[in-house]
Amino acid sequence: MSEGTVADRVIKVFADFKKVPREEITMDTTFEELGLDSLDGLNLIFELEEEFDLVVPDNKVQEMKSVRQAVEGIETLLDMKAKGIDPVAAAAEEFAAQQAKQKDEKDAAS
Amino acid sequence: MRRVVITGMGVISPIGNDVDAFWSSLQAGRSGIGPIEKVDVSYLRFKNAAEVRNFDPTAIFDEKLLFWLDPFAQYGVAAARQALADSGLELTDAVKDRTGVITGSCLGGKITEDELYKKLYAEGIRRQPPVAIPKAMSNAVASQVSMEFGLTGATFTTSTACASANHAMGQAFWLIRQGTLDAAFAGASEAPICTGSLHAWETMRVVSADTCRPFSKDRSGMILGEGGAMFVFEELEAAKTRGAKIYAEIVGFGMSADAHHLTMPASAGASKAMRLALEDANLAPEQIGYINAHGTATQANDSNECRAIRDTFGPHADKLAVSSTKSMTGHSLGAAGAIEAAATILAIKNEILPPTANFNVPDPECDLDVIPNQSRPQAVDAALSNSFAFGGLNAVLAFRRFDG
Repeated sequence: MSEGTVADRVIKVFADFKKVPREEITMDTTFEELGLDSLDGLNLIFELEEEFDLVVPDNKVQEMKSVRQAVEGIETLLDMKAKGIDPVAAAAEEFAAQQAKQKDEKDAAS
Repeated sequence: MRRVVITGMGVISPIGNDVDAFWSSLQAGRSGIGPIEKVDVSYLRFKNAAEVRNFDPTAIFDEKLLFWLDPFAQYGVAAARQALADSGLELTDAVKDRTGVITGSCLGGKITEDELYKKLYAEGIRRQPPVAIPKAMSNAVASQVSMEFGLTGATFTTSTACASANHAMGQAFWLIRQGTLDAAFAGASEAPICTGSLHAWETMRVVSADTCRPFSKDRSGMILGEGGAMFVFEELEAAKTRGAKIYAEIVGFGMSADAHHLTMPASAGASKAMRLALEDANLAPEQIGYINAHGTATQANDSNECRAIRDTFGPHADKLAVSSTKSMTGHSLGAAGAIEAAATILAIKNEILPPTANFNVPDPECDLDVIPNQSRPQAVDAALSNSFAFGGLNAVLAFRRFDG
């Protein structure tokens, strides 16, 4: 665990992972700009999980494609952790709700 | 019919990490078997293996690539790079389109898996970086080499225990001969030296606590090895057109199954595979001068193999020279056939037959000329290389001297 705000620590993880100076990474830097492919992206998320002692659910991984998205995602997950909410269970509920909504819309249209 | 020749080689082995060092050891009858250093073996009944030494992957691979390479893949990719450089083959777009990578590996990235399982089961560490699958998959070498060299021809991996390499090389040979490919990187690699695997081998009671003494009456089992060897196979006319250096010609591939037992061999299967290799090569038994034996130094294999050789060759068996280079390199499982193909090809090219090292006492059940302990200057026209795997899977390659 390192010092600083969530944003500071996320940027440090990115910088260490890519072996570039911290100054080169901003909130708007994307995975693509860093030259990370999908497997690199998975490894980067693993490093973030280690740094913050979190579990990032699979569907949240899709949403993290830039530093800003990673920071926002991590802040949400830290909040859930503080409240004792299991993010994987929450993600499963969210997915089920989405499925139900889509089914309702489909039934209404037919 | 198209012909296929070997125009490049690369070797990482317990007796040398390039072709020259490897050949020098074979010629000197120098064994790479010694006390296991990579893993703690204080609780095992056997203490010796043939380990690859002085191999520094950080000097060969950049950090980003090394992250994805299990040791078995490090050996295979390193050997492939040597083979490419050795061949001088120019990878034009046309060549890349018609070149494939065909590899053998019995275990794939077993060391990576062993580490993962240890962390998970023994240390309870559930969070793991997402690298284990791409590192451990048995096709990692075929994929990495194809990616690195840009090769888009038929590319795959065969897994048939101790015959994996011969099956891979035989397939590569046939695919070029039949016109599916014009060239191939063919070979195999294996890195079995990890706690879990060694423990599993111990339970079978086939690994020697001493050393590897093929065909010797006092043989006491096999010695595990590791490493990799890769070859550039090319269609002959293309090789000649570009002025390639040609080591030898690969002329035959024979396969069979024993349909007998999971771990005990049956000689009929072995002799069938040798006979089919000769037929595929259009060679008479009398044209073979040397056989690089499977020769694991188990009681069962060596006597079975000698019986099979007598069945296949009849009276000519008494004129054959047969040696097991596993006496020096150990048994590298899926990589064995590739490392042994290197030995066989170099024997033909250099006209020196490598010995069976550590040989003490002749065994009446192995009463062939096994080239005991000292290599022998001898020119042969053609040679066989045998692999007889657990589960009764037999694969034999035939090589021939290429004179021009």
